[in-house]
Amino acid sequence: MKRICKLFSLILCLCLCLPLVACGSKASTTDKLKVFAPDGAPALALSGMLAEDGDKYDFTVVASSSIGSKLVDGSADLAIVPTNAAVNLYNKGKDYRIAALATVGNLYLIGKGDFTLSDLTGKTLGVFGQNNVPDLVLRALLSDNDMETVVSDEAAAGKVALRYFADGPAVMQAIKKGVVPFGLLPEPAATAALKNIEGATLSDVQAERQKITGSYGFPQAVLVVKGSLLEDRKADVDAFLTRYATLGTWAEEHPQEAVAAVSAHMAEGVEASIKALTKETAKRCNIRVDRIDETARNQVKSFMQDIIDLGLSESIGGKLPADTIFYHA
Amino acid sequence: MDIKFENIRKCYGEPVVYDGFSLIAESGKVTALLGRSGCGKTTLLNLAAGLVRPDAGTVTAGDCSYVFQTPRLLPNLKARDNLLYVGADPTRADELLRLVEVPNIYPKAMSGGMAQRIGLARAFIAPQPIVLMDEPFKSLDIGLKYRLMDLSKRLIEESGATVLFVTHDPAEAEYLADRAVVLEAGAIVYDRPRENDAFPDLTATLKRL
Amino acid sequence: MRRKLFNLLFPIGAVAALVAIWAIAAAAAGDRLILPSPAETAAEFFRMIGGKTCGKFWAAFGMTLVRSLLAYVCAGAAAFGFAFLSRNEYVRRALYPIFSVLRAVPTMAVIFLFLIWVRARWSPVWVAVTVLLPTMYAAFNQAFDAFDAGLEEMSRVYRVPLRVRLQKMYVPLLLPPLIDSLSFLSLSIKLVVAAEALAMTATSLGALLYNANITFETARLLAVSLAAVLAGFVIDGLTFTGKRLLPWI
Repeated sequence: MKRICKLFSLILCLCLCLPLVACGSKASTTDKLKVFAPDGAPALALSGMLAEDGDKYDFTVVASSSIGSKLVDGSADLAIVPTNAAVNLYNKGKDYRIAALATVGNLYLIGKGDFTLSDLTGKTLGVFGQNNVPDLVLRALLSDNDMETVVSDEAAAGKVALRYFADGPAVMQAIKKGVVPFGLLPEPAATAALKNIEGATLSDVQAERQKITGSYGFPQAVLVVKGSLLEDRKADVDAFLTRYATLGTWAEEHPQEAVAAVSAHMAEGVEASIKALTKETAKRCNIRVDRIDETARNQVKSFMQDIIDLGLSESIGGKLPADTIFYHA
Repeated sequence: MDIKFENIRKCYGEPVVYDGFSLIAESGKVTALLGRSGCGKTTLLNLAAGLVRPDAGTVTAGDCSYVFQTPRLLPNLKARDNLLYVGADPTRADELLRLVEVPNIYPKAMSGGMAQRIGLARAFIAPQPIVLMDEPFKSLDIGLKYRLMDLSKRLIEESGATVLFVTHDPAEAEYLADRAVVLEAGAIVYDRPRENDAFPDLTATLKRL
Repeated sequence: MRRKLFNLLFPIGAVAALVAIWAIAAAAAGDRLILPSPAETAAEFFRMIGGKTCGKFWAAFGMTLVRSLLAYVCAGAAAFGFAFLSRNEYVRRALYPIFSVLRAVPTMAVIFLFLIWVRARWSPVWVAVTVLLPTMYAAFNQAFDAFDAGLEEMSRVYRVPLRVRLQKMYVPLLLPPLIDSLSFLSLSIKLVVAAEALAMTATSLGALLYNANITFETARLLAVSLAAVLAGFVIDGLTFTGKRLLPWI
């Protein structure tokens, strides 16, 4: 009896492990391609296809914190992801290749009254997305401008004090309440801040970066494609990418429809964060859908190098990715 | 000093245990209280000790020592320290330990009888004018029982205290007490002083209850 | 002697079985980002506590423990005081609704609220205190209720002075339940780490967990969790030996 019980419990335990095996998705050559995007500005890069090709592909817009898991569990065929996550996962062995850009930065500095970058020294700056792209870009920018930073809730003389908040709205609240004099915000929250906070002005982080690197913005989010599809369904993937590259200005030209298209494809139980859009705001989201070519590839690599130079290589998986990460046009 | 109960009324909720009860235990004498279980003998001791208040009437008593039905020893103290918890004389404590024949160990290592004996010893470490005893010899074998009754007799005589002593056993009453009182339903049904080392009709009265 | 060895074998066997199941599950999942194997996690764990950047871990571990200890001591002292006062029936009835509310508020709500009210460095402490207080209060109430009234009566009859009563009776006899309440320290750690992760408190195990999550370092996530679990084991061990040290138990 005892032996039977032991055998039974062993089998039971093994059965409990089975669901984990079933996690990986199975590819098929005729299913619609599954495309994921994180909620917020990056989803706007897909807005044209969401509106017009919604029946040709299986689109889902998920909460931005869970976009990474769609690559980890392999359920995405194509996805828009933050660049550092794409590189990190590739370095960790997930075969997703960068096929195109999506946005080149939607970060803006908010302050009351006119200000320049140097005005930040000796003050506190509210930042969101610690160790994510917004944080990394900001620190790279400040470092390139020879401005020292320190992580602290209080201002420090001669340095820029970075105070972290949970997300963009939290930063906006902090500026409004006067908890911090300056803040880093993503579009479209930046536009909202202009409306909600008296006397607020924007400073374009992308433009500031151009002063240093010569090119506007930085590869903030990219479009990746599952590596195995490049063999099994190359034609379908190329068709998608070609179409994608033609719709870069769609969100700017049809802002309200873009918002509607994104809302229509939200994942279960997730609310769209962008409720309204204007032409200017869409423009400030800096959507660029360029396919990967020599220039784009170098932009990505130099941005990754900046991150490594900041000592934050952990967020991209420790090293520069092999060139095989790029799927050229 | 005398222990006086004057016109005591005591209820525990519905049941009235005593109503208009009076008794005087004379100074320096040992008064035995007998009767059926649950008839309120312990209540009288608790009234004398000041642990409960009567609903009506007055109780006159003074500082007491109390040998409880259960030993009530502090489990974290050894026997000697349990004695010193209530009294201050270490020599006396050692002497009492010897007299009750219990080694200096923790209560958890004691048998029921041993613990009971410490409870008894504790009553005599710092002499008080009144000693209350609630069935102190209950769980002892005959030989030990008589040795301890002898000891108690001696200690009581030495201290000259007024003793109220509850028991079921008429033999114990005859061995130790000057007066026997039998209680039934809150009233006294037998109250006789000692005559020739015995209490006449005591056993018969108890049998009739 | 043989009996002792045999008794030791059971917990070791149980842990070994758990690790075996883990290894099987990890092999079945086949993806170290989803479930790293015990070996990978162990390697990451040792790298974390002894490798080049181990200072970062130990600083975080230390601060998290400090926060947890602080919350535990504050909640414990307050709960003890309230329980002592609650021996009085009126006080107990007055406190009942307050503690019921504290007990019922969802923990996440507490975390978010303190994130708004208090700085990130201390909000985890507040969160832990708020959740621990009603639980420890209930436990101390029980301890006081269970206190032998007979011993108190005896002390009263023999007119034992208050100082002696406190020293020889109350404190020693309340020590075992106090030692038992050490298990709440493990709970404190759990609460503090959760709050730290959401507040992104600098130098904390919670922040390490958060960062491991967003950089897909699943092995590190498990390693940090393992550190917290081991801390819990140490506390349990202290509780066990602490009670054994009392000679009268």
